[in-house]
Amino acid sequence: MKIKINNKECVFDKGDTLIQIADRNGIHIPRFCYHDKLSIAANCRMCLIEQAGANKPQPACSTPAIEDQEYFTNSDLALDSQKNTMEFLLINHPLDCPVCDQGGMCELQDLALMHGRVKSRYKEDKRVVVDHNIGPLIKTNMTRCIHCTRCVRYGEEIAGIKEFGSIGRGETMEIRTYLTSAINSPMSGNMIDICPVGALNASPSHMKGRTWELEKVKFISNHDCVGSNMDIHVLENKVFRVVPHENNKINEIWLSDRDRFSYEALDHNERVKKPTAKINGRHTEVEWDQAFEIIKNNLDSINSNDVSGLISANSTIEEQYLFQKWLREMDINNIDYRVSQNDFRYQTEEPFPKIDIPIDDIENMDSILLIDSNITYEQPILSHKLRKLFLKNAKINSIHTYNYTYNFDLENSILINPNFLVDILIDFVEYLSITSNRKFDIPAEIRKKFKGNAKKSVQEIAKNLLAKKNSLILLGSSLVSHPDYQLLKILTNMISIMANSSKGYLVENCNVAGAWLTGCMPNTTKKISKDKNSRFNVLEAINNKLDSYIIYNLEFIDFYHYKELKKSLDNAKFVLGFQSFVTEEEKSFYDVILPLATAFESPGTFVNIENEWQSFAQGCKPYYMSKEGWKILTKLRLQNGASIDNSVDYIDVLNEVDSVVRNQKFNMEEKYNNLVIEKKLNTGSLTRFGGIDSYYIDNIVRRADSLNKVNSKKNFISVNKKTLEANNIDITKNKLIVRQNDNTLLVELIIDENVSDNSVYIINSNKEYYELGKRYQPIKIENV
Amino acid sequence: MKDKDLYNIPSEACTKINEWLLKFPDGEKKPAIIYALHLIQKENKYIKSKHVDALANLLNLKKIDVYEVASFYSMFELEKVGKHTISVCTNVSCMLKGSDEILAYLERKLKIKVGTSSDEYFLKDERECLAACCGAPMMQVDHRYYENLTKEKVDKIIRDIENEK
Repeated sequence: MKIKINNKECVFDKGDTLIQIADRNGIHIPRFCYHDKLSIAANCRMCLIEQAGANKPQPACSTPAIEDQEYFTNSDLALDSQKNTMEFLLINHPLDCPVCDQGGMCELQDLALMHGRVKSRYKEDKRVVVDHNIGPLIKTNMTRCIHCTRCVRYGEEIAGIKEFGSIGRGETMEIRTYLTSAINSPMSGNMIDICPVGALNASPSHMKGRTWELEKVKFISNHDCVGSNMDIHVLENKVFRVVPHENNKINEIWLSDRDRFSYEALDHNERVKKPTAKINGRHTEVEWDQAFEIIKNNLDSINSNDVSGLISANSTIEEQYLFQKWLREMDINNIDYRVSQNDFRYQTEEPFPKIDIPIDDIENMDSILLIDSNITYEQPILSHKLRKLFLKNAKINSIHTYNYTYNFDLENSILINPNFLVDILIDFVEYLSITSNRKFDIPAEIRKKFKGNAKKSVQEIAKNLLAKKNSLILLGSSLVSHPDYQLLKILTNMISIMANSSKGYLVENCNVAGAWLTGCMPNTTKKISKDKNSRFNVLEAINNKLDSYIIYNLEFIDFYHYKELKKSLDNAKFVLGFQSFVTEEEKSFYDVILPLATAFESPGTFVNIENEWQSFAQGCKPYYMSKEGWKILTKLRLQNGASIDNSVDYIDVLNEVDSVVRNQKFNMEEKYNNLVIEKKLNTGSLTRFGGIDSYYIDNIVRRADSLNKVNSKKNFISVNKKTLEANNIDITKNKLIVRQNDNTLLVELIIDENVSDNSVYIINSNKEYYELGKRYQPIKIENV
Repeated sequence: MKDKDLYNIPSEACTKINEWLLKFPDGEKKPAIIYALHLIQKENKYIKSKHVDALANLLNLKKIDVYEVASFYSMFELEKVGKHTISVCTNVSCMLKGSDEILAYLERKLKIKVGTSSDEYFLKDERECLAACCGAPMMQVDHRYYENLTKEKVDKIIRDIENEK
């Protein structure tokens, strides 16, 4: 079908609106309320255009094209209507562009220049709106609002949590939240981007710089395994703000708040400024060369089998590659990245942490099974994809240990105690072995566990997976610390094979795939360089109390075995840290600390869960004396006499990683030999569980001020009523004492029926919880 | 949240709301908001935040959804008002027949300004045409129409209300 716009012939499909056709053909139509990701509101009237023969102008955003009609976007009628609309919009809009953050990137400013009058004819008083505090991330200035309702529709349709609404009507209409409630969505920052005026601004960068002074560098998100694309805006060598970079395969035009506001941590007062070394028991600032010399002397004097190198899965693949190479060149093979992991069975066959289908393919699924995944807060971008699915009527099911808040509705859900997660997955395998027509050789070990009475809810979910052609099973990222993690992966894999589903192992860090590929783990058959002997993984390295530990970009609380680690470090002769941040307490454990540039300050590559390699350039120069990881590691290798060119550049490192790692064909098949199904988690009593707060997951986010103000409530635990009564807790008081081994903590009690029986839900959001004890361990609750 | 801040929608009202919902397609909860707010306002004179909370909970909607509706329509009162609501029509017909004087008289008599409320009376401002032009000037007291008003008639209406107590 064809129409003519401005005498240009345009092709369209039935139902296309005029603005869509014009956009496709590069014809400019001004708009405020229309946004291609949102529903049509047609309330700003800026997009009025002329239809030949019609006696009044039509809004292009909501008018479907009619075949063989002629439309004009630049006729007198169209231009006149647009000019009049503009004049009305500007009546109440303040002329404060010089002090408005949006100035320079403002849609209203741009369109006023093109379609506005030179001078206002309005002499009367303008409307003023009182601002309300809606949280630490978004700064409102509602007098500037032009009531396009993009933010209201965004909340309702994209974020799935309607928080803004239009209150009142006519001249007194306001966009605001209910009473004084704050914005709580993990993707709220996107409202700042879609706001066409300066009504919603980013609070952390409010009034701190102007748009035209900024430099833009493309960057990859470093707080979840999705790898969202973003642009960092740099002002005077500091990250000024972060905005999404459109990538329709991953994050579309959205960005989670965590990725958007984490940069605030970069000049936190716990940043390491200079290399320091412990001289006569006291930390003293030293020069880089001096630090390198101390490192060499100490490592030379220690048996290489007694050294362990532990690297963060949030570091770039270049750093991970060079780190293991540096250590292996010194014959140090106790290298690991799985610091939050607790289960190391079948580690020789550690599966590649990935999702079977590309991220944008999630939108084409018909059925989803989530296994204990708090996906809306942990991977907001993936959750957005699931929400899209939900709106397309796909069925989303969940087995969880807590009724997490999702931005979609669940079809079936099973709430279960973390102790029985393995059992319920075995029920699945059993039920599928009867109903599925896909042949799969179930190991006798698992067959032995069959009970022959799968719950109705299990049957429902299994049927749902079987009935749909495209289904996906996602294993939650907080399960990494589950004592049966490996077993859960094996069972998930089996279910996915029998139900003919795709599967994904979600992980907490942004570059777990990179660490796997570069072989930053011992005892595995799947890595680039083979170790001669079996080596210590992180758990063994901690338990064996080695002489020396090298800790790269990790804080102690990143370790599942937090306390044991501290004891081992205390015992060690030489502890070396490559750190961007260090607390006073942690400092005392280190012998040498090298200041490390964060990912924002270094070029690098992250590999996300779909095995997509995404490189980024250096955003800004490293903080104070700190250096990029690849530079430090190259220097250390040079010092050890590695045969590399002295003038090695980042690009050489990237090329090396590319040729050694990327082009290597790994065996991605999941196969487990000598399967022994033995459940490790069985506390038999009250169990502590719960993942890490989404704003506490890594050393950067932990220090981002504004993000950490979003949930002001930190010290609480959730238990359901039945469990409280069984433990004789006085529920009239809202405080209680929790006890793990000899440690106690006074916390606020929240009676929460979203928790399963016989378990205590703790969101790990501050250090006291780590001091208390570990997740998935017995816990006691007592009256105050 | 303390117990006194909670409000339970009476069960008769719930039944009525559910009956009302049957008239709309499955899963559509929003059409019941106006109807339910009417029921709540009738019982409580004005709508407090706890009512909004309770209704949002009942209909499984966001509080802001309910609040948007409540704040949009002038028939819903969100601030505390007196027992009796008086609206004097001030549209063209009534104005020509002297509604301004009636309104001024009421303001003096009840000792409240238009748009404000005492414990007893709430004098609503800017009531649009109530379709009783043939009896102008007119006013509405608690949903009852009084037409062809004079000062004496207003005195009598107020006296009657007070005698009713």
